[in-house]
Amino acid sequence: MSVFTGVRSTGPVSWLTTTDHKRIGIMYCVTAFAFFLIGGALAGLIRTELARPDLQFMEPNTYNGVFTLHGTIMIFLFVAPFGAGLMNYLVPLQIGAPDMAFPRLNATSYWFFAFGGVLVLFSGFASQGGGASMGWYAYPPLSGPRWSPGIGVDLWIFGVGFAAISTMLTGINVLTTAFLMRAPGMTMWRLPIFTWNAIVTSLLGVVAFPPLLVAASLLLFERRLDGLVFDPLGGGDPVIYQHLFWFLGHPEVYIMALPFFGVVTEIIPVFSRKPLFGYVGFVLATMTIGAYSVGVWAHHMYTTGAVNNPFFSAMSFVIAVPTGIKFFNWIGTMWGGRIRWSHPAMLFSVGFLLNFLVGGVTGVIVASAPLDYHFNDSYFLVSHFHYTLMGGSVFAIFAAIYFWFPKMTGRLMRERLGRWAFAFLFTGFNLTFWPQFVLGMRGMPRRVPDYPSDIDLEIPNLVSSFGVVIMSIGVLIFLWDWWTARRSGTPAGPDPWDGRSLEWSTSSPPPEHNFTELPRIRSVSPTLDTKHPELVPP
Amino acid sequence: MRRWLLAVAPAMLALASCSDGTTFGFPDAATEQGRRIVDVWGVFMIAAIVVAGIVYAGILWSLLRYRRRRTDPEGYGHQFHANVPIEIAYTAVPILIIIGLFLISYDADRDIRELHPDPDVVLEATAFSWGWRFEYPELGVVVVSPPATRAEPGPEIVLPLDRITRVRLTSADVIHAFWVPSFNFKMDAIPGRTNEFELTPVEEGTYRGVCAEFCGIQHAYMTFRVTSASPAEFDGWIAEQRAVGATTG
Amino acid sequence: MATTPGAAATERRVSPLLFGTVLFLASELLFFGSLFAAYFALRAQTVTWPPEGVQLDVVVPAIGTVLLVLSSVTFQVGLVAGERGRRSGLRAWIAATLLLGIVFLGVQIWDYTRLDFDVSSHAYGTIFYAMTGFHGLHVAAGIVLMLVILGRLAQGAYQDGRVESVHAIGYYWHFVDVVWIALFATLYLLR
Ligand code: HEA
Ligand code: HEA
Ligand code: CUA
Ligand SMILES: [Cu+2]
Repeated sequence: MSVFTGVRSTGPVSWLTTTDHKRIGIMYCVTAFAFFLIGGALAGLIRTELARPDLQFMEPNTYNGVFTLHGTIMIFLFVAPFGAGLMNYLVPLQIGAPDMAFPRLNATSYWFFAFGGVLVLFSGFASQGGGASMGWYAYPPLSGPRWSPGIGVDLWIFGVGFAAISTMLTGINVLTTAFLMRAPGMTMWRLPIFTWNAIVTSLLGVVAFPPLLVAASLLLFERRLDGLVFDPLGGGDPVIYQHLFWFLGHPEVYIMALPFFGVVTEIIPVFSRKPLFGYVGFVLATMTIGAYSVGVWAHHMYTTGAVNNPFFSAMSFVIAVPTGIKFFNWIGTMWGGRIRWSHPAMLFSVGFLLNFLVGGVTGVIVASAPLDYHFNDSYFLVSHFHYTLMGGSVFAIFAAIYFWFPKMTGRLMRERLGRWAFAFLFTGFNLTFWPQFVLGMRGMPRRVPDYPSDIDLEIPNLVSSFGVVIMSIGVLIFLWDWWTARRSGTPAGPDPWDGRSLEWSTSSPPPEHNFTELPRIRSVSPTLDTKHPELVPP
Repeated sequence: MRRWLLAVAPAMLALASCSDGTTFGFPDAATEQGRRIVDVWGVFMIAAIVVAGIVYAGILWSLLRYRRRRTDPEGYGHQFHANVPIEIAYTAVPILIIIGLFLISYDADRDIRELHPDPDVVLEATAFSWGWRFEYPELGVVVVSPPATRAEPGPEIVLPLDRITRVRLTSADVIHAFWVPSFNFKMDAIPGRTNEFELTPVEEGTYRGVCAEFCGIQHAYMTFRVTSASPAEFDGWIAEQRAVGATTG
Repeated sequence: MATTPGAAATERRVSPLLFGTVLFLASELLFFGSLFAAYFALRAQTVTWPPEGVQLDVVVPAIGTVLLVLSSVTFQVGLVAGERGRRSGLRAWIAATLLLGIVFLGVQIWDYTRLDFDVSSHAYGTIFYAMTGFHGLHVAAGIVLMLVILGRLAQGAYQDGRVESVHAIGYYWHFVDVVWIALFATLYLLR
């Protein structure tokens, strides 16, 4: 692992056996990012196939396996684990604790995730009798024994199951740490916003993954023990699976969003030289989002005719309000500040704001049941969730790397390269996904390797595929920057950006147990308070 | 420092691709129910553009107006971190907006999903892997797909114009979905369940239908066609089907 | 004024282990809650529930229920003994708990052999075996934990009433017990 991060260590074996939260955090992030590259490469295959009508180079069955793996990897093995990595790395540092509450459990979580990841890869690439090709939410009967007889789906179930258990265990660990291991003076209302978001994310992890495990287990019963819970011929009902799955599935999208709301909320105040506007409101909004997110799952099921559409529609609309509060907090923070906007961390944060807003507003559109009758399972929906996930969460992931890389490695990445990476990613992203809204409106369904030769569909598809080329250049620039900065980046010092929270009060990288000395904690910004005592609020 | 233009680009793109008439790029529907959806869409798009416009303006204005300049004094400016009236306002206004949006979509949803006690035509649609079986039980006519391929446009069904057709939708195996993009409407075909909805075509034409729920290898090719024609032509088509022996018997 | 990180530990009031255990049980609650939800969803959709031919006898599982409730009591008595530093009392009562757990599983398996439906008979059969089976696995895990306690006792652990981990295992064991009562009521009494 040290070869990926430049952090000096006493050898590769020490990474395999470590229980240090910082190392585990870095291992999470690096592994997850590797999965992003794999998932991104698969996205490249998808877009190549779709660049033109007709089949280019993939049989439908291959294509189905590719998008199944793409979705599964991105959701269960990239964004959520990257968030877990950041929580691992940052929560103890931000609250002034020497480590997580359960260091060994923490290492276990990581290895569960890594093992699950390997199983998922095998489910697609190397399985006998057909890989997993049933879509990332694996609806029965399609994922059942008759239509997916190969062992791909079984491997997929175990892989996702391990990743799910990993997230649950991490959640338990983060919550215990954040509630019980805070340094003296670090009251709940002085917790950095990232930690607050980690708390709510972890609660969701604890609540949302058990139903997924039940759904997956019952599916396994169905496949290997001739179970019938989802089979109408035996008195079962496939819709029950959908309820169980989406009871996880929707909170999962907030598990993939909240940590990154936290990330940009750490970055924007630092680069605007202003405290967060509306801290209390922000925390309450985060809790509200967490609470509501377990009550909206059936908005993925409007077209099943089996749920109360108006109720779930109303619940989904309500989530717009707390999310909106956050947007206004971010604007209020920048307002009247002295914004250093050209730093890559800040650029990616702004990119997050601009993209995520599109994703959020289109979320409200598909949350309206009548509109969803048209948009469900269309490219409009595909674009909605890429605007939230890729344009939102992943942009925030890049911001987080630019922001905390110096803390993790002691070296700076290069701002100029970062700006180029941003320019390519931002342009490429919007080129890829804006046309998909148009495709959805014009009736292009998702999960098809082929579409009619029709100019209305051809041009947006071609533009969309071209955008991936631009995005890939951005990713390559980023990789180059990161790879070289590990060894030869300028030394960063403990606090390269006048940081606010506690992690900037210790050396970069921090020592084994994080702090040799803690500053006095009088506000949400203890590090800044030490440098600028005149700014401490009375 | 012209790089901020990059940030404005998506907003401009947004306006550009939305400016083709009142439906903002949304297909105008060929059924009564679908037209209700277009109405909802118009309202949502206006709300979306207003909300996004305000938020984008706030973000971009802050970035431009308050960017750090070389002439700025070192250190920190005025440090405000809360303003209760403003916070209440930006909570309350979105609440009002979503109440409005909810009422509009609730009202439309009721109309769209309304089931009349005596529809003019009943159509029983059964999806299977990979094709469709359409039956008019009252008229004794059945249309079944040949096996789906890229070249095969799928079976054709006819619906009488300005008449209410009740569709009873189910599946024989995995989950499929009945989607006619020009009707702006889809519904899932789920084994063991029957979903009912009504279509009232108001515009003559032949429309492409697709299976929208992923159902395996031939999902992309599980297409069909719907023609809406005058009631007289509809009767003629039924008679023709009977003549070629496409009957239940 | 600067403080050293170690100070955090002295301020701590709640035991992290017990806190973490409660969180873990919260997720377990949702696990079984989801199974119950699936059960009731099926039940609401099915005309004859349980399906014809399903004969459930209440007496045998009732014996199991009594045994399991009893094992919660024996566990608690052992825990109190342990807290007072009486390691031999802890050993005896945990052994009794272990035994009761094993007998419960035996009764459960006996009950299984008398049923004339299996996992693949109908949806009811699947959910029945899924619910009781997952519960049985939890009892089995609890039995392993009892063995761990006994093993650590043999190594000289739990001196002077330091029985925090026994406490945590107790939370788990009582939880498994309560889940069984809910299962028994749902599957056998309420039908
Ligand atoms: C990070 C991930 C993420 C996030 C944050 C969201 C956020 C939201 N999503 Fe999205 N969603 C997904 C990821 C995400 N989604 C995925 C992956 C799927 C598809 C899964 C699949 O099928 O494969 C999906 C699918 C999906 C559906 C299902 C559609 C279908 O299957 O047919 C719906 C329906 O309601 C929905 C709604 C919403 C809503 C209302 C929000 C809201 O939280 C958005 C709130 C934010 C805002 C609204 C912007 C800011 C607010 C303001 C500025 C205030 C003022 C605004 C108003 C008053 C409107 N999403
Ligand atoms: C976090 C989640 C996430 C992310 C980041 C992405 C990222 C991308 N996605 Fe993905 N996507 C999903 C989650 C995500 N997706 C989900 C859940 C589905 C649904 C699946 C389903 O239906 O079951 C989906 C489906 C999906 C589809 C629809 C497929 C279909 O329905 O038929 C498409 C089509 O365009 C697509 C495209 C893309 C593209 C172009 C990117 C790009 O943003 C990717 C950018 C990244 C790169 C360009 C990487 C470049 C890498 C290199 C240059 C190095 C490569 C080298 C090595 C591997 C060594 N995605
Ligand atoms: Cu049938 Cu997709
Ligand atoms: Cu959702």
